[in-house]
Amino acid sequence: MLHSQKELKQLIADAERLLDENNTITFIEECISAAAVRSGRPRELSVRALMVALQVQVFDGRFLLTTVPRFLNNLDPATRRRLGITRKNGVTLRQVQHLFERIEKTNYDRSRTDDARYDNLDVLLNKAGTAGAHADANLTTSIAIDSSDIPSWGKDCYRMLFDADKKYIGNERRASDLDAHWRTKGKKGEKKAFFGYDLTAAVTVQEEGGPEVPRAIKSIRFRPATYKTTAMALACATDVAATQGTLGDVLVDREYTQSNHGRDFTLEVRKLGGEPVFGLKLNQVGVSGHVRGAVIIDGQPFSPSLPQSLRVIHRPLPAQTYALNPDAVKKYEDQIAARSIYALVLHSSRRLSDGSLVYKYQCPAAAGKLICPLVASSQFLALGTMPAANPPKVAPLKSVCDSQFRTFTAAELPLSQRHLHGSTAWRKSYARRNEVERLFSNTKDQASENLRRGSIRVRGIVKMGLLVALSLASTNRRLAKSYERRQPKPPKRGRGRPRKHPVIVMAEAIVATDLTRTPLRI
Amino acid sequence: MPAASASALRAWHGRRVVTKPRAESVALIENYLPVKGVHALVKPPQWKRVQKLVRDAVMPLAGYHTATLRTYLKAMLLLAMWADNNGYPLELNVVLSENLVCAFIKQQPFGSFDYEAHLWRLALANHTVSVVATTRSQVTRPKYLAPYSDDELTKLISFANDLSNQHRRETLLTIIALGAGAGISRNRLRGVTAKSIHKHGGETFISSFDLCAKVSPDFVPFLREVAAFQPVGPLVQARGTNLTAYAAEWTTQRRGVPALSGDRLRATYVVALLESEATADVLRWSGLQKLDALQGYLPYVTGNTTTCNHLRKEHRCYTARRN
Repeated sequence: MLHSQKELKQLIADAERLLDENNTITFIEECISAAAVRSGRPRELSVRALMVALQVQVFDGRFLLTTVPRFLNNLDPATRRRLGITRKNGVTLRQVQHLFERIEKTNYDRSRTDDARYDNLDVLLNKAGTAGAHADANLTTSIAIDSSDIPSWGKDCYRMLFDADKKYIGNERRASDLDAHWRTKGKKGEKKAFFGYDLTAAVTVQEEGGPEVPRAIKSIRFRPATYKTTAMALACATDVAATQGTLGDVLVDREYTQSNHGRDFTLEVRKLGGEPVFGLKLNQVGVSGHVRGAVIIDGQPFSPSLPQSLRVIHRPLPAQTYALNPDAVKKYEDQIAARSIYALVLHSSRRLSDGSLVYKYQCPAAAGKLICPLVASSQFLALGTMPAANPPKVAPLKSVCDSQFRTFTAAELPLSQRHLHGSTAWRKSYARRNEVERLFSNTKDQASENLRRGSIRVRGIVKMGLLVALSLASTNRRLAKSYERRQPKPPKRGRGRPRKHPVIVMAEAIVATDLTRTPLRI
Repeated sequence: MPAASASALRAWHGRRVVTKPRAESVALIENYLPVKGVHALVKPPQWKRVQKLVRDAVMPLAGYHTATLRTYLKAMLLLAMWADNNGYPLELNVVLSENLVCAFIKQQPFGSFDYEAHLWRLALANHTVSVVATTRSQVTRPKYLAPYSDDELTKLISFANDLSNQHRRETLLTIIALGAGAGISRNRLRGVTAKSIHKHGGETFISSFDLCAKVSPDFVPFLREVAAFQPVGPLVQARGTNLTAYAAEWTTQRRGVPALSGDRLRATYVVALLESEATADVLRWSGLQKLDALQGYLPYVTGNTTTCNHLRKEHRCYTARRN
């Protein structure tokens, strides 16, 4: 894209600001200098020049290294000096490729197999990818986490091998991107197979009932496709908790909470101080067991007086091409609302020394939601209160019916959440998760960052990850500007004498006429 | 007429049937089918579940004209559908119970439902609620364990005293005197005669079939007056139905007069006892079996804090032991 000199200067300044915001350049230089073992000529292309050139190109949705030398060589001398370009003959493509290789080698060791090989990479990508967020993004503590597929430019295929006698002896894998991984297509065809990486991102969302906040990336993880997806989401949440010092709602889809024990995600998020808001898989819907007499339905404890017909409520599923029927959604939510009066009421929670939580739940009849023959006080509830449909005849010892309050550990209710799953309040709260989908959509939009297969033509997790991180920073910057434009501006102060309303002029004229007893003149 | 409906009618005939059943009304109930039409009220699977309940509930009103009966059928159908959607057992005594009808009425959007009177009439015809329930204000549930205030009691006695019908006047005054003065209400009223009033060591007592209650000192002259109405035989005449509910009909919807409630009269007596006497005497004279039963009255006790604190402590211990 062609830019005027003024626009180009502004873009370069923006790029430098983004890269300096989290000291990305300093970090890369430190990594390179720490790993410098060879002697030789000093490097002529600075990290700053390369990164600024890449960032400015990414603003326009271009990720190609081949255009970097031309961009740098066309800069004015003052800017070149500031970026550390001292070579008289100009920057060459070989220098760019060489420096990019150096960055890869100093941040990632492909020979290692443990998770620690990603430590440097995570720091680098988080510094580069979370820059550019609007300051108001810190007004919220809630995040939505999801991952998106980033197809690699490389290929992974098998070639038939033959011996000297041209006899077939097997297949040989020919992968041009050694770090990428395959993700197979979904069982029902809802996802396409691809070869590449998973980008997991934590994106700001507004608090429930809170003010609008700018969409911004708080933390990212870049891994080969299908590599420990749940653990990566948890790592993002951990990063955000450490950065903010606190964690609000953590919104994820049902892929992250598919384990019924919750030890891999929901319980850990609660230990961090967050409140998970999530969807459930079809096999998690309905009765999953009993704890102290309470019926566990959709992860929440319910009174045993709940009628059988309300224990399993199937949510409407969207067709392949059509959105959900609003009438079907309303019918489903009405059923959930009918069931909600039997839900035990969360009274309080406290944190144990190991960071886990225990919850104190109150019987719904004792809380005034239900008339139950086992609870004397419920007999005096206001007329119109729903009676229990299926109350137990006796209250078993140590059960929820035996006492007004019962305590549950977080491990006993791993899939419980603030709102009942499927309720209107839950749907509205869970809808905030769309922010992360919007962000991925924004980044992949051809009209903006254009992060799709073919745009990035480098291979390897560091090279691809760095360019992806730069595109995320660009998205952050663009969304911050958009948010700033949406903010109400104070009215401009008018020039000259304030205009009088005609009615006031008329009134003043009448008063003046009355006082002087002269004919009315306006 | 089908044999089944004839037998059903015979069964209903012994109950409270308003008028003689009409053949065309019975036919309407038997053939009622709200699943037809563009704007059908109910889907066929749900109609299969609720049809027996709807027909059984409306059958006692088979004496009504068919045009009138359609409204009752629709009202009952809406109630049955709501009960089915909320998982309640589709039985007459459950669906037409006071709590469920009240809950259904309350959940209808404001201004969209005009079947309240029909439902109460259906409940009454099916003997699932008392007359008091159908005429009570639906705003708040009366506190059955709340005692009458002095003002309320004065108005009630004054109203009873002014009744021109001698039977009603004497019955109502007797119920009030026995309930508020000695805690004798409901079935304990049966068999109480003027001779039941006696003395133990200077204190006035009155005996019922299962207890001997001390009469509140303030009520002794009043009780003597009431006893003079029926020097021989029971103080209140036995009836086939609930006598207190029968008498309560006279006081409902009277401006400034609190509704008569046997429970509240008894609560007046129990709370007065709690404010003046020790725990053991309260239990003995009020006929309460367990200490637990006093819990509901404690919030209304204002005086005698020592006894009440003692009671509350005992109740806590009792609850702890039970758990």
